[in-house]
Amino acid sequence: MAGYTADQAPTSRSGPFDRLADGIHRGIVSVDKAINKVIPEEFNPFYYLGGITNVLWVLLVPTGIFLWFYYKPTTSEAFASVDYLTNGVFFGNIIRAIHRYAGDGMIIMAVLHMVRNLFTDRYRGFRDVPWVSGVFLLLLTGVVGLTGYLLVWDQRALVVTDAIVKVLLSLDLIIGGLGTFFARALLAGDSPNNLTLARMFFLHVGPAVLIFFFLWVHYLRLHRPKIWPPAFVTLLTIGAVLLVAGLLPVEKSLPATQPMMADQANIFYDVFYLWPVLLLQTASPAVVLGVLALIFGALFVLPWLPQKAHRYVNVAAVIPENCTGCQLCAIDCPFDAIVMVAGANPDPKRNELAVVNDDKCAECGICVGACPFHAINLPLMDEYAVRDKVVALLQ
Amino acid sequence: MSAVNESTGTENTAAPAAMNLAPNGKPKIIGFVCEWSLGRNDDIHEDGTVKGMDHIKTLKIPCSGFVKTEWVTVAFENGAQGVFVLGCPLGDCHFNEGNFIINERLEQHVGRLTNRKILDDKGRVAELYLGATENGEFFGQLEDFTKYIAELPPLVVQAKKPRAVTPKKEA
Ligand code: SF4
Ligand code: SF4
Repeated sequence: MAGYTADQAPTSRSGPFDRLADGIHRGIVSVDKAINKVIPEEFNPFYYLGGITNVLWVLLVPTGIFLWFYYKPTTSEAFASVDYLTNGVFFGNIIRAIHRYAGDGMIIMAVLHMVRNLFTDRYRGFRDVPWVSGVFLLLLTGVVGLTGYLLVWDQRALVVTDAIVKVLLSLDLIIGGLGTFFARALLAGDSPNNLTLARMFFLHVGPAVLIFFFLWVHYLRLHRPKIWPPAFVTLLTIGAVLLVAGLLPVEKSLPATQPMMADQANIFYDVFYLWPVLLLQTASPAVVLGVLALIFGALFVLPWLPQKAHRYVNVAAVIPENCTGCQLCAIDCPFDAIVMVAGANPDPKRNELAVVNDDKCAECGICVGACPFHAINLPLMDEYAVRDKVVALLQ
Repeated sequence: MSAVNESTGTENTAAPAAMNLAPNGKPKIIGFVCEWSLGRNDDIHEDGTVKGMDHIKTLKIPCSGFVKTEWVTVAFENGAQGVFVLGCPLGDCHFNEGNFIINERLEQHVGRLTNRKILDDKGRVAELYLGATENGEFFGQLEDFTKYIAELPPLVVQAKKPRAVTPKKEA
């Protein structure tokens, strides 16, 4: 039969990375299995890591808007306004804590979502668009989180600002003046002044708005994206955030306007967003910049690192003479790769024709199972050939 | 239809006994195996036989959702005593929805086959949803499946009429 040949088989993976990936994949499946023993598998949160990230994001938006009502983005008033919304506003401390911990949860879940998809081999080939938009989302989430810690304008914010400026200045090593330019643009001057927080505020909200755009791109190639996890998982997520927010109020800090705390080791850093700042305590700014550039550079090119390309070899092909335009394949295709084109059917009595979009097709064959009229096929696994193989195997 | 075959026994047709049983004396079983589900392992040989289970022949497919329910009927018409489809764990399909989709399609199709008395037992079609580490479960479930089928009376399905072969057009 016309089957896959060795070089075309989507799963022919060998090489050190693939072996490592295989090991981690097994680990992931073992965790899933353990969870499935406790709760039904349709509620397994590990099947909805992306959806949980989205739930947390949706928690962040209204709480952020609430905080914005009270926030004053000037160096002289920022700390006082945050202090007021925390201690003077009814439930303000809880809302602030939700905003804080949902943000932490969002980056944790986003990274888990990414790791899971990386090691279950769901990042390349037809998934290049979701992957790259996902890396953009991660980058934006990081920027939003980082600037969020600056808005409080406490002593930690001073240290973090200092760290950001140092890292930016190390850009001067590559292109003279570039780092200085960015640092000045960020601070609106040579040192933090009354305009600085307005810029930080923009850098907190602007990228957050961009997140919506990249989410749209992220879902573009899916017919039925799992945007929302099942209600059980959603409630679990919200409950977890509320619980943490209720039990762990946001830590108290000293305003940036006071003399710096003598013992800086007492400043609390959120490792999930501020790990580069912690890294800076032991490494030079250029190293931190290099690490960040390396991580995101690698993530961006990952889907195209030299690997056996398994795309465009077995894209579903429609046989127009057989297609009745019934749409069953287009409904079932999980990747929205089939469009029903009106007026394209060779038979004038049948109006629509199924047309496969090669770029979106994952070569899964789900449409083949859907078509009752023998009108769509995977070229390397022709349906009649499979049928004959079934018969042959039974002889 | 199946009733007739049960009463005629092996004398008339001589074929069934030989047709229904694999050389190792167990009922013939056909499996459609998603190439993403069990991970890369040596338990399924190149030619599609399962290690240590010669009566089971498998076909490697890109996704469990690829299975045309028509192939299940064809398998039964050609002497298979059982058919199984192996996919990724529900909720964790490599192609997002393939296993849910085949789950629905098979439910409908097998219901139709049993209603028409083509199949005597819904249990002749099994769905396995297993992930990369579950080779043990794979063998366990196949053994149970074989045992279940061996206890059923031999199944002979005759194709109602020569299947109209749709003129095949090359894409
Ligand atoms: S093979 Fe068919 S169902 Fe699968 S992505 Fe391509 S068009 Fe969609
Ligand atoms: S399922 Fe088959 S007949 Fe129906 S629209 Fe798709 S290709 Fe055409």
